[in-house]
Amino acid sequence: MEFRSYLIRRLFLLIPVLLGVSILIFGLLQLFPPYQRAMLYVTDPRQLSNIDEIIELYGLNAPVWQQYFTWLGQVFQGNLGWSKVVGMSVTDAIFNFLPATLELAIFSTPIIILGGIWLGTKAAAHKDGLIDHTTRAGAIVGWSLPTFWFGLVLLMIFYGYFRGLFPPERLSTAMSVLVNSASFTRYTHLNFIDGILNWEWRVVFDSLRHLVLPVITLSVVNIAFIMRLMRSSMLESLGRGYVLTARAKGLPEKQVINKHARRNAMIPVLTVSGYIFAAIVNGVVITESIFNYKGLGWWAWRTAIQLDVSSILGFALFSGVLFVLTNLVVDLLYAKFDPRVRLGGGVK
Amino acid sequence: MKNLRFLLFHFKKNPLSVIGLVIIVIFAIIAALAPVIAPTPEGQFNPYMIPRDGYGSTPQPPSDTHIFGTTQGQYDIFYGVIWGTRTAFQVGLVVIGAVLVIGIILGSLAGYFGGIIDEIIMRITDIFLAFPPLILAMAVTIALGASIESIIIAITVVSWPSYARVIRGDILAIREEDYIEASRGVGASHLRIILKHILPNSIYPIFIMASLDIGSVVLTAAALSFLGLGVPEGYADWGQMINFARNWIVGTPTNTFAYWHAITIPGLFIFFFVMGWNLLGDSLRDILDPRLARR
Amino acid sequence: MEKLVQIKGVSVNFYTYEGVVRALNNLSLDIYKGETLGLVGETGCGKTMTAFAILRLIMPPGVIETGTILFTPNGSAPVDLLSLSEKDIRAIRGSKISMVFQEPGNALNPVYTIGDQISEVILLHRNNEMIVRAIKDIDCHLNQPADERNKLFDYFIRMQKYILAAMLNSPGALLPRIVQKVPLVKRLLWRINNEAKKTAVAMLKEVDIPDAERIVNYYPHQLSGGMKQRAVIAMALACSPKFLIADEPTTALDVTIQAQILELLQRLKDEFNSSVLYITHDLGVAAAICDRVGVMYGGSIVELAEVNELFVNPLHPYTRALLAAVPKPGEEPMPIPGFIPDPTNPPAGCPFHPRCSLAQDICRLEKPELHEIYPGHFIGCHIDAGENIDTPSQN
Repeated sequence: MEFRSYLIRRLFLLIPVLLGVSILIFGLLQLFPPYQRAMLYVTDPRQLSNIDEIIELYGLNAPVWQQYFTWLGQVFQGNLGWSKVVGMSVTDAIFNFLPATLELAIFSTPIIILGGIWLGTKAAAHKDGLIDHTTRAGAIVGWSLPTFWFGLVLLMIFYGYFRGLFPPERLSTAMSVLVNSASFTRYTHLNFIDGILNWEWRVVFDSLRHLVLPVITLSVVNIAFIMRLMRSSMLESLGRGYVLTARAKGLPEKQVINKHARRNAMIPVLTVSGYIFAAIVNGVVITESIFNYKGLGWWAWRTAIQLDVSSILGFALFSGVLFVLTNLVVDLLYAKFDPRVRLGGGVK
Repeated sequence: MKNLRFLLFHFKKNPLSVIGLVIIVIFAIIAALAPVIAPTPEGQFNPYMIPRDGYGSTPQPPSDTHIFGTTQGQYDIFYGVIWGTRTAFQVGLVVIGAVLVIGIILGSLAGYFGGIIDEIIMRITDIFLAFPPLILAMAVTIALGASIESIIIAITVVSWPSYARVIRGDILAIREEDYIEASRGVGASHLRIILKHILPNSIYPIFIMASLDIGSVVLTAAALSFLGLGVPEGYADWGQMINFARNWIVGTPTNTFAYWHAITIPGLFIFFFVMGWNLLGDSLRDILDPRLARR
Repeated sequence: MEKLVQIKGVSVNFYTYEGVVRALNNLSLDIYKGETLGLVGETGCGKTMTAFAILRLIMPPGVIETGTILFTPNGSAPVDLLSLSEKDIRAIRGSKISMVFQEPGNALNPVYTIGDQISEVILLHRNNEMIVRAIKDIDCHLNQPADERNKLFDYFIRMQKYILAAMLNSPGALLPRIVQKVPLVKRLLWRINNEAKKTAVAMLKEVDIPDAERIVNYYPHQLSGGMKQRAVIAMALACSPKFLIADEPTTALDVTIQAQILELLQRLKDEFNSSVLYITHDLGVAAAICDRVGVMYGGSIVELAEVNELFVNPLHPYTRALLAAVPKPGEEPMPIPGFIPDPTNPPAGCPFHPRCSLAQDICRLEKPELHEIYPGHFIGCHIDAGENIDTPSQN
């Protein structure tokens, strides 16, 4: 019961934040001249020749608050403007590039989260031991690596030196042709899954080969982050009374750590998993731009350097809303994980 | 005083933090002596623009005239990384300074007065924190146009909310302490209480932690200029120098690592700079973290 | 009387950054079967460390340097707890020797229900008993008239019985090992967990928790402090331990609840026929429930006697100071001058000498041994009883 009211309260809190997000994006928009702003209202390439008409139509020289509501109305209709870089509407572009990024995220997120938690637990359980020092040193190195540089060095070695072992982009030319041919059905646009569904193992293998380096690049920094957090959270948890109780019960150390200490230590990690999502989005932009991996991040990068205002603001709005929703899910998971939040305090 | 000695004790015990400090000091010396180490050529107006030797695109290997070689567009790598150190310190120090000022003002207002002021300030931070930072920074940078100042403003815009929140939390905790109650009891003004009692007690750990974030600020700035946003072409900036090298990861048919210098050297500068701060920060954070202290 | 636990010359050091902390200093102590032994002293004198040393719960940077702790449960040869393998000491923890902690809010894991936490210790040490009960339960079901039963369910339940029997008879065999490890297949063993939960409910009733069937599904934060401590006691007694260590179990509770918990502990001690080591800094509590009382100072016992003897005829200067410091109506309490010694740099000789009004030269040089002055009354002090005690009632 209490969980439902918690959920409702939490959903209600979303409204001002989302409104604020839209105001911030709109405020940024005001820094651009009207002819660039006009791109946000374009739905069709034919309109591009009559920008002045659009400026007139949407009142882009009118008072700011009036423009805001016009724009918000457009956004609610799903119209985020025209992306001149890829020649389609921003909404279409987002859905077009999403699968590639999703594919990248599907492979790296579990590696990042499970790897970070596992390493952090190990380091804390062997505090000041060899494992601890090694993982800590590794974490500092990983945390200090410039992602973009690390990716390039990986490419220099595995693409340059090993003659194309792990190439950039999403698929090799031949596989790309195959995937786009009529005989290949694109169920999900995730090459890896579509390859399995079409029973085309060459596509699966090829897409995996192209994913290796981006996944590594994206994971290293973020694993280091979670590992550090998990380690300190585990150390705190291991010092608590319930761990002593568990030991006094006669539980083996492995169970004391994995069952009693870790479950509690996960709570702070869970609370920052929204941040981890943001870090992954950040990493996606850099990683995809290095590997020419044509996903959302790559698109955001191209649009940014070509001053494609509607696209970059559309993407910022999209990622902002997504981030807010992620934080909502995180909070609900948090409540699921911690009975103190789920059930509320007090004696009954 | 006892705290300081405790800090120093741990500091000396941990060789990694000493290495970190040494790295930072070396970089500071490089930045200070940049005009001596890499003198600006005669007649060049802006020392932050990297001198170029011709307009050919292929990077040239290290030689007597260019000891680290040249990168795409014949920009001198040695000059670039040395003056890039200055850029890095500039960006890091200005951003952290600005963020601290904004964070302290808004955080202490929110934390001390609470109520509606707190609510408004915290909802504003919520909005800024609702974006993945790099995306918001990208949008701000292109809105402001290409310059090092845009990068500084963009990173400040995305980083101040978390500082404001931390400072607010600390102030909330300190506000409840007895001695604050006591000075309120004897009729001290709000400003006086904030300036005389609250800030000095919460600022010292925040100050240290913030300064250790210089590493990650520089990393974000480098990422932005790597993406081609922010600094104008030819500006002495590590991120941009890696951007120059990105088309040269595949060497010549005879030598697969023909252009290694163009990629590796600026990257190592960023890496060591950031690692210096992180090494220092990692141990200091452990010491300053009251939950883990004195174990 | 038979001795249950004999602690001989145990020293524990903690290697911290401030230096070596001498937590226990050549401590010796016997605990008899069926008695309640009180351990009193100021904070930091090593009371809790004694408890941790018995259970070998001292974690790095702490190290048990020397000594033996002989444990002699009914009808078996004494074992040295300090030289047991990690596996063997784990089998003793929670089953033969268990512990109740000071702060029940900390001792319970906030993310598991009370029932889960009690079941855990039952499943750990009384697993076979639970399997036997589960099999009995299945037999009970199978003995019902055949026509009322679902045939498919019958096969299923027989398979369950087969697995349970295998776990009981050959726990090392492949089948039980697989069933216990593989995630979904593990669900087949729900009957064992069920039995453990039933036992947990019974334990909660034993410690006078009302509505135990409901409380068993509660999380710790939903219970009051007194209820939490009862749950912790239920957990500690779930395997009928021979020896219960209670580390200030009532310090964090209200006075009225304190009395209830003390009464409960007394009753359960008799019921389970176990010995209790009761650690407290409250002399009143010690006087109320203990058979014998040991006074600790600076990591060792300084005086040990029957409870009445100790309170009527205290011999060690520290004990006397401690008793004088207790506020009594109509009397001015006498604080003990000075502070407890710095554990990293304890004074040479008798650790109490800097605060002792009777200290002589020898006290500064030599640490006194614990010796028997009257039958059953031990003190660790150089000053001979005849010289400094005003009313020596020797007979």
